[in-house]
Amino acid sequence: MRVMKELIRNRGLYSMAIPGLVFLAVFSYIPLAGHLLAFKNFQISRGIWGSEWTGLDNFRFFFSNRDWIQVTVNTLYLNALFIVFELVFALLIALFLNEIRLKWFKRTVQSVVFLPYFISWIVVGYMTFILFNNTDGLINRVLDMAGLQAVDWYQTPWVWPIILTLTRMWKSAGYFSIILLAAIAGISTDYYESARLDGATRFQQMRYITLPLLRPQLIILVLLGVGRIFYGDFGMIYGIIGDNGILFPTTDVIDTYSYRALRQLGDFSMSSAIVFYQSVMGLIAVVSFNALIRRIDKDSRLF
Amino acid sequence: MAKWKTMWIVPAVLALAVAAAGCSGGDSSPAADPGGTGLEPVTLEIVVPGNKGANFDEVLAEVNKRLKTEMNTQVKFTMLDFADLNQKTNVMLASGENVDLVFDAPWLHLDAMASQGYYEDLSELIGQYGPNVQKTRPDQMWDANKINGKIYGVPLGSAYTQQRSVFIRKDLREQLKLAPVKTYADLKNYLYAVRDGGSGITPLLAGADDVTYSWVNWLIRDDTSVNIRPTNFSGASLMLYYKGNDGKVYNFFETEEPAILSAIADTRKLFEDKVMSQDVLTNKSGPAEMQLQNKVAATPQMAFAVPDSFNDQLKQVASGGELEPVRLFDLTPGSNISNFKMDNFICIVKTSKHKDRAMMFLDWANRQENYDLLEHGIEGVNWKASGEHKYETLNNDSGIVSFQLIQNPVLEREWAGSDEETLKYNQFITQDDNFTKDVMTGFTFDPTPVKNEVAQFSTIQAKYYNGLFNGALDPDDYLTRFKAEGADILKKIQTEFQRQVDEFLAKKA
Repeated sequence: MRVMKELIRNRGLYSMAIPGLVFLAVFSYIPLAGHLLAFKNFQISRGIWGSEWTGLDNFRFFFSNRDWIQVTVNTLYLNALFIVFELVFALLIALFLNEIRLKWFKRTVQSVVFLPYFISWIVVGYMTFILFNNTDGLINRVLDMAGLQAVDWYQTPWVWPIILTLTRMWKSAGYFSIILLAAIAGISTDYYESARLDGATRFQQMRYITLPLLRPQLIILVLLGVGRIFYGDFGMIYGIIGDNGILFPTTDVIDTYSYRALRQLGDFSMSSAIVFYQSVMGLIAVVSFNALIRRIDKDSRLF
Repeated sequence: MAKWKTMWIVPAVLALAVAAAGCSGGDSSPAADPGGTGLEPVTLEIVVPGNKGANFDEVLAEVNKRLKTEMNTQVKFTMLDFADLNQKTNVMLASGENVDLVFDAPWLHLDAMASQGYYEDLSELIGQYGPNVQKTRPDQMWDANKINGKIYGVPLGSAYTQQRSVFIRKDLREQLKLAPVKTYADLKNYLYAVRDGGSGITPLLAGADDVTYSWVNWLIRDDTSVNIRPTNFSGASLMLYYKGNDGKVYNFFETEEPAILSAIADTRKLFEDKVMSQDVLTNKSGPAEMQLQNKVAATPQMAFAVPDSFNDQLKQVASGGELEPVRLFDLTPGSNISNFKMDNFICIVKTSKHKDRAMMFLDWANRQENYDLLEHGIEGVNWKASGEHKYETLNNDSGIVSFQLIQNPVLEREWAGSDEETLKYNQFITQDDNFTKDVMTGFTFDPTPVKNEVAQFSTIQAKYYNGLFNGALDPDDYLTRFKAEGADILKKIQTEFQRQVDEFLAKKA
């Protein structure tokens, strides 16, 4: 009854959540039922309930080949690189922007670092190709002019985690820096004033005031990243690497791997099996990371 | 705080609007029936590959005008890029999107989709609504293109094998003072001359995103001394292949077929000699596109003749640029084997609510006057008839669809401007008695018993096949790795495949 009363009294405020809740229900909760397909031999003509149960058979293609370890490791490894470097870089940008006093300069820099976020991965794929290709690639031309040996970039697997991480930093660090900058703007100026009275330098203010107060936001951003750590960024990897088998050892992620496995077969159940695997592992990752945070800093945990 | 009392209406209305938007759609205006056909108005959703030409809207308007009066029907085309075709049609079908007619093909996922029940069996619909669909295709074509004894798609095509050649630069060849290219040896000669000619143009680019266009596949196809053909267990992959006409499924890991091995070694040499593009695996633009940008001097193409539009485009980038075809196809009657299987199909989707009308539309489209409209555009504006089964173009615009929806040997017209040589090739492949009949005619592999193996092999193959078959990977090293990873799985697929083949042949005997 208390809940109902509360809901009725503040109906104006609560109703604001309706669009969001509808969205969440339609796109996040209802599709959960789709996990059922992973355990069925789904045939569209027979429908979801008419298709027979097959136990774990749909998982067999993925787990009976040892490549699954490789692609899982790649997915985790690449995403970990992305989370760490994106956030560190975003934090640096945010701190830097915060120190700029010239308004127009600050705004310009902010826009410039934010812009790449809106470029599609397909376009980014073309851009990396123009930079790194072996026929008339920009980087090889520069190396050539400097009298250095050209590199077959697209035949050298180990450099790609680095290139991908750099691309990712370039593309999304600006976006995250805006979030962090908003958090910084919310920090009360009183702290800084009293610090200045005590003779703290700008660097000390950053180190002892801004950074500690940003911790909750940083932790949330990391948690959000960890929640999707088992999902490879298909648009990115496929846009940049494509079907170049030579680079698969370091760049193939769960999503691109299963795409190639199933694009000929078009089997819905087998794809659902992969999504199920990713969801379960993602859930485990978030819960355990959250438990870890709870130990270190109880107030920053998500739940 | 008074304003809060009514504020909640805003988001609530918003939510309702979103919900309502999701539910609307469908046939909104039950317009009149101008032709007096007594039929319900229907709009058919058609999904095919291709691009919209400049006069797409004009031709479509004429199509819809005729359809409205004749059968109170409208058609809507979704044209997909070839690169997206696989994924998009897959998702559309799997999610049960509102589509009535969809393009599919053995090289896409026709067999898998048909066996999973995404497509309607057309036998009855053709009998009831499709007399023209029926009679524009010979019986042999119908028999050869069944899947598990059923017709899951209308076969599209007017020939018993694909047109194919290698487009090279005529102007470059003449500059290099080379005689016309007739054989593969001549072609290699030309490629090396281009490399050394100092023009900066990459001599050769095969297509690595589609196995059919990989250089080794391309060479093997025209080698009638071995008659090696893909089994289509995984696209046009040659890892399991037919050879000759003996009803056996060969496994490349086991046979190490000399013809394929030597083609792989040969292609590797082209790559090492920098004749094959060093970016063959990673190019973002297709071979034709690169050739028309004056960046590549030879590409494999599914045509016996260079379309005029290609040369027009090339001339804008390179003055004096001109393409010519090198045809390595063997014109000896009986030397090529055909299973009379068509490359393209149009299917009616199982979940369609307008299956009858979709077939009525196909029947309409397989009548000469409508076929011409769809393929060549508006008569008197875009084209005109010229003699028996020939046409002349009047401007650069053509129709909106051909091989994707209607093509058949009876109504297809030959371009009046084709030279003698091209006509010879074109006509050769439309005559069924020029081909030896494949013992596997009418057979389709059902991948479901080994779908796990097929999925696994696809991922292994993706690592090595395109690299090996286009020269980018060293066969000494990578073929061994490919074998180590894939041999066991391929053996299982081969065993199941051979079992199905034996069963098919036993039933036929």
